[in-house]
Amino acid sequence: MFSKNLIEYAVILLFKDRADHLFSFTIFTFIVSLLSAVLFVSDAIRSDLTGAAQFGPDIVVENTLAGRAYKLNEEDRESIADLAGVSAVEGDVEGYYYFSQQRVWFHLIGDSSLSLREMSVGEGVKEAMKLWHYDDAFNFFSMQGKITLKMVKTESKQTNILSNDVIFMHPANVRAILGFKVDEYSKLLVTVPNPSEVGDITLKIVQLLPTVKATSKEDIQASFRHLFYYKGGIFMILYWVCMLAFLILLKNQISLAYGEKKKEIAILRSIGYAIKDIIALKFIQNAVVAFSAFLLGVLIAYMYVFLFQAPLLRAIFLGSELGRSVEFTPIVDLNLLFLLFVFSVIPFLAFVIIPSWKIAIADMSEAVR
Amino acid sequence: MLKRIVVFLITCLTFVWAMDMFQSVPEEKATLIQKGDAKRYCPNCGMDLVKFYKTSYVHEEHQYCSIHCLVEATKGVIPQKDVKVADTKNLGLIDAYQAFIVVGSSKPGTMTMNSQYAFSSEEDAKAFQSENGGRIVKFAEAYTIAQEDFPKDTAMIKAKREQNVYATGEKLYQNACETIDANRFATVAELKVSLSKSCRLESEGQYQAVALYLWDHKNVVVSQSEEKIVVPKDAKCPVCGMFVAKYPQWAAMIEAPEKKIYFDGVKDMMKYIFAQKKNFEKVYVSDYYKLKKIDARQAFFVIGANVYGPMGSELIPFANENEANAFMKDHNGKRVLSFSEIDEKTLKSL
Repeated sequence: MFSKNLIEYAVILLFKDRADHLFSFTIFTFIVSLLSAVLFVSDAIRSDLTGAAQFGPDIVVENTLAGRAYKLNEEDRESIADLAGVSAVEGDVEGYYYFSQQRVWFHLIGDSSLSLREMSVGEGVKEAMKLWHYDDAFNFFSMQGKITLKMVKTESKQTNILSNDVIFMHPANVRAILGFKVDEYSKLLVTVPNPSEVGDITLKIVQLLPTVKATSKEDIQASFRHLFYYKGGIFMILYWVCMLAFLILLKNQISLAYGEKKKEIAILRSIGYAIKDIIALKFIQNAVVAFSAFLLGVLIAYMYVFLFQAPLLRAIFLGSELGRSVEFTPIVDLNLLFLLFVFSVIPFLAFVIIPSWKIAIADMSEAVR
Repeated sequence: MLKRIVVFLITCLTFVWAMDMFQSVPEEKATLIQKGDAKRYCPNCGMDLVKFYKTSYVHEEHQYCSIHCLVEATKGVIPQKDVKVADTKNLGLIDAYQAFIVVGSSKPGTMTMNSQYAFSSEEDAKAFQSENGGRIVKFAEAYTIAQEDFPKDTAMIKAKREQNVYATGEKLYQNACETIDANRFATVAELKVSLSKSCRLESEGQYQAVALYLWDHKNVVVSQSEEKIVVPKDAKCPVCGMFVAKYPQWAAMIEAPEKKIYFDGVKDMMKYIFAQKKNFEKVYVSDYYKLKKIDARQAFFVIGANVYGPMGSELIPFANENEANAFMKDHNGKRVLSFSEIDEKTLKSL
């Protein structure tokens, strides 16, 4: 397409003007990495959550009493299980335990893979316990007396933000500590095999037990989809930063065709370069800058998010209601990445090629004077 | 009297344990000869030997809660020696062959409707007899009576357990216990003892229910019910030409000898069957609620409902009639049809 000499010359020119191009390159890389990091984090979180919801129950049922969370009992479970279209109803227990010495609340969650004498705690819980010299076991005080559980493992630091106040233990222990009877539950997890029946059954459950709140899988997934308010707050600031950086970048691009460069174009024209050669020259130079900056930007974002787990960005994204999945799964949405490519690289190239072309077709003598 | 005993047995087998049961003795008065952690429990049924002490038998290092369990353990062959029985009056263990046993008194029996109580002296037995009725026999005859009652008693116990104990036990096991492999234990008594370590239950009765549930279900393999109709990715419905794999909950299938034909709804399948004018042997549809593969000839089909398949109004299949009726009520269905009731007119009316 381009002759070898032209390419060679373009590269030499690129090195000659490296100060100007380096500036474009840096800003372009910055914009691309910032935007694609946001993209990667939100995609990873969303795919994790929707993935988790896929294996989760079809309907989650919680009870209320006077507007507050309340327990459900075996009869509720059975009456839901008797509904046509429901294949299974499982009971789940969880709740909060007040550690009065340290004045903190622990979030107890049932996990039947643990044995009756064990528990698994979050970092924050471990520290709170350590302050009172509970180094490897903790005494819970309940209506049934003292229950001592051994700390078998600490939830990994990676899930720190979310599992900070969490203690996993066998459901029987949760029951004993929080005073649930053996036939009482804090949540019912309903399995409905046919997805098109979920909506109807959710309504039926609420009709059957008027005080309960039934949340279908679809509702949960929808809430995940709208998890982040992209149109406001911190995201808006991010967009403004990118926008501003991009304007500076475009300004720099235009300047690559004026002033000193204008003279350069005129000289090239007068020694016999065709207009298309000059455009090609500019195109090669800026395409090299744009592609390398784009690739580097995406690469930086990828490493930042998936290798280093997005040190600052995650604080913006993760709230405590998210559950425990915070290890970002490498998911790259190529469509959005392509969109980013089109909307950044094309203006970037256009803003240098069009002015260059304008100068190239103008009167030479004007420019060289 | 029989009614009273049955009522008692229900209470006793559902493990609402009354401390004033006639069989029970204070713990320090009971002579327990077994060794180890499980010494307190009958190795056959796991029942508490202190609570059922007065009917208990000892044979070859094992102590059974009743003659019913002894018969079960000896497999109906009367042991010729080494059998001891609890003396109802003096509470010691005495030689069974010398004992006087009152059978069929008004006092409740343990694991049988025909109660048996042993005494060391004939006077004691007669005094008991004059108060509570029944007749006095020797061990050999008592054993024979228990053996004759065995099938009846076993059936009664089984019925009671199935009615009540297993469901309770299962629920308790799921909500309050770690996963336990019942096959690791030699007797139900050992299993019951280990439960105290791996369950958090409130009463002796709950432990008994869980132990019985686990013990009697240890070899039951949960049978996986029939699977779904698996649709190959490229299978097209021969009637409408659509890809069937896109609508797995509507999949229907004819298993012809040469190949399997898939449809994206019962309506198209019926059209195909009528068009081919063949009597296909194996015709399957997906149950709407469970999405399981069911035989179309056994299925019930709802028409006129407000639920639409990929090809519009459908015949919606169900495995049982109750569910079909429930669905019809919920979704404004018009009628429930069986496979043979579907004809070309029905298809046209859809």
